[in-house]
Amino acid sequence: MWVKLASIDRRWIYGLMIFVIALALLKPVGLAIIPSADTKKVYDAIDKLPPGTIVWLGMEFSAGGVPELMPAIQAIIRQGFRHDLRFVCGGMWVMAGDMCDQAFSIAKTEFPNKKYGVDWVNIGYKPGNEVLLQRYLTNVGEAALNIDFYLNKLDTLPLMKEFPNLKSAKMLMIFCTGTPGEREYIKHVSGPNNIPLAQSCVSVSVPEIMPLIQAGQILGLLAGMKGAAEYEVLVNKPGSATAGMDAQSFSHGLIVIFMILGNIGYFLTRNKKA
Amino acid sequence: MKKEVPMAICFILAVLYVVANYFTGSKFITTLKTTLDDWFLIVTAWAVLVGTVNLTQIHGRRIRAKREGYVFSAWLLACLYGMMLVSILIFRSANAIGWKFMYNQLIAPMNATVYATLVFYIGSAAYRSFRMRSLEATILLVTAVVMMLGRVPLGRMLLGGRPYLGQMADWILSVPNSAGMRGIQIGACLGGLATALRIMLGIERGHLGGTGE
Amino acid sequence: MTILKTYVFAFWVEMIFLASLITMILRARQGVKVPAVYKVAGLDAMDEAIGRCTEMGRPVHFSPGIGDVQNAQTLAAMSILGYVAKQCARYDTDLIATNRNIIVYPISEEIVKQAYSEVGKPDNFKIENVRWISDDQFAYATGVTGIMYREKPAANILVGAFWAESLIFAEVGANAGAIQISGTANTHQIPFFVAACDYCLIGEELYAASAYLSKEPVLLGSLVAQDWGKMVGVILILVGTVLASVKNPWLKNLLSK
Repeated sequence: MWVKLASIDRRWIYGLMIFVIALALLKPVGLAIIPSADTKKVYDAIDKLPPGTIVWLGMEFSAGGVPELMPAIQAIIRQGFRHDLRFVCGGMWVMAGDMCDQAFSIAKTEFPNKKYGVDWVNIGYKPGNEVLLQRYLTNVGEAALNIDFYLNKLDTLPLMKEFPNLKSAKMLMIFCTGTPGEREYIKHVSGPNNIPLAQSCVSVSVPEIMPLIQAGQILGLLAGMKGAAEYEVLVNKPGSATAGMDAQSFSHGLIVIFMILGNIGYFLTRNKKA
Repeated sequence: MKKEVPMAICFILAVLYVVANYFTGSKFITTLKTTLDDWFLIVTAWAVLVGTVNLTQIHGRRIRAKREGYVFSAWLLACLYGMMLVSILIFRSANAIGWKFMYNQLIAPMNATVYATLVFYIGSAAYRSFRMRSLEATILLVTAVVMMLGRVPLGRMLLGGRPYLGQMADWILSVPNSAGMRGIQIGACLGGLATALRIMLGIERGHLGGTGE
Repeated sequence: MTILKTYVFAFWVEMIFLASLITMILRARQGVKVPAVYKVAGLDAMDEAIGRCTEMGRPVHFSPGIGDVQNAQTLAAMSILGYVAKQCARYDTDLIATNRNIIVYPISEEIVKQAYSEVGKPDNFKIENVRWISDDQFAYATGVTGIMYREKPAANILVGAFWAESLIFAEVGANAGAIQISGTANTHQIPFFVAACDYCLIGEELYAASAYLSKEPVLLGSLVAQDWGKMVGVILILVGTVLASVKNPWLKNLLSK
């Protein structure tokens, strides 16, 4: 029996994982979520921006990052629109425009007075990676070929008249799952131009971003789904991230249980072999 | 000449890019760099043809020889050419509704699905690997448990509302993790810089076929 | 022409590093003895892994990561591919090299073909063993997963720039029963490789691979220059810590120039 503990068929692990996650999503327990200091820094920074300020939303992720990042984006949009902030979004990743479109889908139902072209603009994806950022610093319209994600001419949109280049943003809020990502923004945009940069990233990227936060290059971080759930708590609108935290919690617990079982089996079989 | 010409091109372009990245004030160099960036994008797009030929050759052979799983090779080629022809002949634009439907309803969910399989692999990898075989492995195991429970609300719930696991997890992230990350990143950046300079100077030629000098 | 604002310090650091690199290379060419490199288990295990494949009659799978050709990790992986391909050619072991990036694919093909020519077995090179799977990250991951389940390689060499697909490759390789040697400088994937693979090259060990495997004095000399660079980094950290503690912004201002 101890030999079996040390070599559980991985299909049991997969099956139990599906069961635990599905159960937690269907019957959430509602574990308490307490906002962390890093999340509060981002919230406070956006809160302090005067009404009418333009914030750049960098959508540097694809479909895989949606569960962790989309709730954070929508929470920030809610906070921003409540404070009459304005947003220009785009990115270096292929799905930047689609992600922005999905994020602002809440505007129609929750903020019907907010108008596209006046309160937000979706430039979408343009090729070029970090070269694109350098071009955006000079002239967004030219770099984006004067076309937004919906094929409108950028120079016909009122908001873009106040946003000639990326330096016009008073804050950068980026959502990243890999490269190109925060390092390109720090190198070309926030570092040389002293524009505050905050970030939401997937959990796996958090350890490598910590040195950037401690160096002051990133003012605050929404760490994965947990950070998104904390932000939802701060804006007082629980959503998919809050619901997902129960599933994440119990799946972590299951993995810890399997690790303990594996070690018990390992020790007992090791002693037997000895 | 098979190696000397690529090495010369590499050296000249590397110097140009270093100058263009660090210096300002020369419109000629900026324009040249921008042009070369555009050329790179164009070459990359056309290079897709090379890969398509390779895929067709490999899977075509499988289908002809009716090797095990040849049906999937046929399906791959059908999807590859189907999507290519439909996009070029019917949709003709990445903004067409049909193209967006294919991308958003087929490719994006498939990407998300494969990404989601990581949760199972993490579980089986953690079960298989985190064994107390040595002192270092034990430290790794304890750290993994603290991080996994400390970064979710479950950790606080297990300790009756006390935040100790979360605080330990934050300390691990802020102190030993940051120290290790900085060290690895400094070393990796220097290594990357040295590799780039070796390639630029033509000392390292592994990417051209053959090793060293 | 002037140096861009905030890039001045970085430019001069790069120039000094270049000068030290050239110095060490010239010294190595003149025959000055290069210090010994510490043992890197992952690189020593390459021959063992290829030998295992030869004995079992199963192929070696090699992935240079999903980075593009400008990425230094991909170029370092190409050097390792050259070595692995040569060994495989020597022992008549099949090598399946999969690629995600379309520009990297013809480079891989040329390297493997060249390796077979160098050992005098050009006819043994099979073009279908060097494959471009897809430019999409997870389509590539799925393709490689399929190859590992079907072809059951006895060695899985994953060196280069990896992102989220790293654990998929490592776990599937483990399930297929392969010995796994991995290496990346992407710090967010190193923990997965360390946990799931038998050997892992961490950060700069990947870049040192070509020097380590070839034992060329000139390449080993460049590793010494890297170490000098690290010494300078350590000194800057120590000086910076002291100055920051006494709230002197001199070094911070210098680094920001």
